Amino acid sequence: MSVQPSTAAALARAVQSGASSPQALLEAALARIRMARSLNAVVSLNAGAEAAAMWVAERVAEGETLPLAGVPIVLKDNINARGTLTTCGSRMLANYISPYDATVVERLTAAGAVIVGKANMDEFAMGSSTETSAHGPTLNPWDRSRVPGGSSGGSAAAVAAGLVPLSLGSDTGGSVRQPAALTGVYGLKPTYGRVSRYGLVAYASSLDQIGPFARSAADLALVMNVLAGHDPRDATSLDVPPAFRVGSPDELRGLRVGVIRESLEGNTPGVEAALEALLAALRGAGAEVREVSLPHLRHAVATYYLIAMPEASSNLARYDGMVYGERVPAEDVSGSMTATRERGFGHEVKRRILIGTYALSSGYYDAYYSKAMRVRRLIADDFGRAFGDVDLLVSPTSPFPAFRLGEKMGDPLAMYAADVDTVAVNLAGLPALSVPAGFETVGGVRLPVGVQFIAPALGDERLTALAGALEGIGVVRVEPARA
Amino acid sequence: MSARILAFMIGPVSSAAPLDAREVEHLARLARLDLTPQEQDNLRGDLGRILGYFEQLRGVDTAEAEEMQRPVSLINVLREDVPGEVLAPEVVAALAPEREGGFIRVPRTVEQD
Repeated sequence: MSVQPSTAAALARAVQSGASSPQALLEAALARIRMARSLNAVVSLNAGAEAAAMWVAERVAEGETLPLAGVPIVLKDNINARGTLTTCGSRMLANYISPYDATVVERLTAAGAVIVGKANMDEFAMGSSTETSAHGPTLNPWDRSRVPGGSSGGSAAAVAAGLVPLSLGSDTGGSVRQPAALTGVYGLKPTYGRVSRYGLVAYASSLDQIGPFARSAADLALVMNVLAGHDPRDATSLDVPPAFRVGSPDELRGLRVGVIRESLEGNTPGVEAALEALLAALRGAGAEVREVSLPHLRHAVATYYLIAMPEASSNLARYDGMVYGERVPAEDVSGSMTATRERGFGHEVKRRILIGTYALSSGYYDAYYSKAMRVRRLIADDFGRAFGDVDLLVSPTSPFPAFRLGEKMGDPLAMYAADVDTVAVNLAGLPALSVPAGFETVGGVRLPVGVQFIAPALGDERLTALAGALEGIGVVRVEPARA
Repeated sequence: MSARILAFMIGPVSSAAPLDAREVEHLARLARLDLTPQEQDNLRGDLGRILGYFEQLRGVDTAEAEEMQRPVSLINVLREDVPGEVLAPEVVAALAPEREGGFIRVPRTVEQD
């Protein structure tokens, strides 16, 4: 028996009409989270959730119309919400309680959403499997011996398992799209600057972007209309008002879709089949599908890590145990900082800080960091040229479905390779959406497969429109995971 | 994952030598990390391999390419200097690992005679 969980849109309508209440929706979400505790998707609850639900009920009773009235939402644990633990999956911030709300939290709350809790993640968003978390790994609801992807694996698993209809993650190199693909839900990475990052704990600032997970195109459009927009507190925020909507199948006629040639090698048979089926459906609906080449994409992973690691080493310098976070006492300040960082950070974080420090250090800067920023330009130019000929680009989101827990933890390069299809989008700052595109059966278990659509900068609205059209022709749909 | 797929996707991984111990120690000092001998050993190998993998970028012709620091071009925007709400001092102080009175207490920062 599998019941399709309610969408955010349906829940908000029920609250608005009086058929349900924010308190009832909160209770139900908490009960589901308790039942699914073994997934380890949600790592802490919001003590203020009940008060928030009551406040929404009052506003609705007073006649306010709220787009997300009473909708329970979980946030990746690197997004600040006042009064909640914000650990970033790290021992360093094990007891850190946010004193303020991120802009996305203000916007969600104003729209009537109720923050239920915080979702597990790779430590400081550094990983592709949620296994580097100090809270332990999150399990994939489709197969508990496998990872949910990462780094926003908790947020993805929470939506895939139907605990909440919506969640937020952050995507620095694929951390929303890849877990969305591996758990069979939608995951959107907006254009760099469309969603404020005020209150998001920084990992690699020229790449980080907050994005949602959802189970329907309508919910995706609904939440993006709440999240997107200018924020004077984020200097990289763009002043582009949101106009997200769900498209219909007739909009596929004449749509020019470019398949990225460089992404067609090395995929598993199930990923290949899902992509082929989707392309056939697009052609059938009147889209023009052609192959395009982006020759510099093969350097995207190296370029990405050579930019992300230096930025991380710089951003994470703030964790010294002096004014907040954990502190290990020592004789003097330098000894205390060193001991604090040695105990507070996990292996992957240390690895990235050290390489980032190396790449920025005198004598190596030109060969590594500066070189990577130049290749980044070439990758962005490849996208620019491709979008001269097509409206959207498409590729697998990941070359393989969910891998086994522990499978890649011993080999950092194998883990980094899991990002091969996603990192270039962040380098270029583009919007991209992973859609659930089918399943690959591995050892008798169906594992979700995702396909990624990429739009030109500020073309985010095309992606929710497309998702609606793909749902309309029946080629994309979210199935409930039977966790 | 097979080596074939890895090679397809991310290009050749050159077999770079591990970083020498002194270099790793130096980096750790710069990054304020105090690595255990076991960590040092592991990291020397990892760093060597990862840096070896980055070598592929050397072959890319970037003579015409300007550095791309961020995806959007930003211009300086000035705003009026208007007082606004900030976090109360006691809220910020409450985050500190050690406090004394209204102050944040930190370990000794200057040498004693």
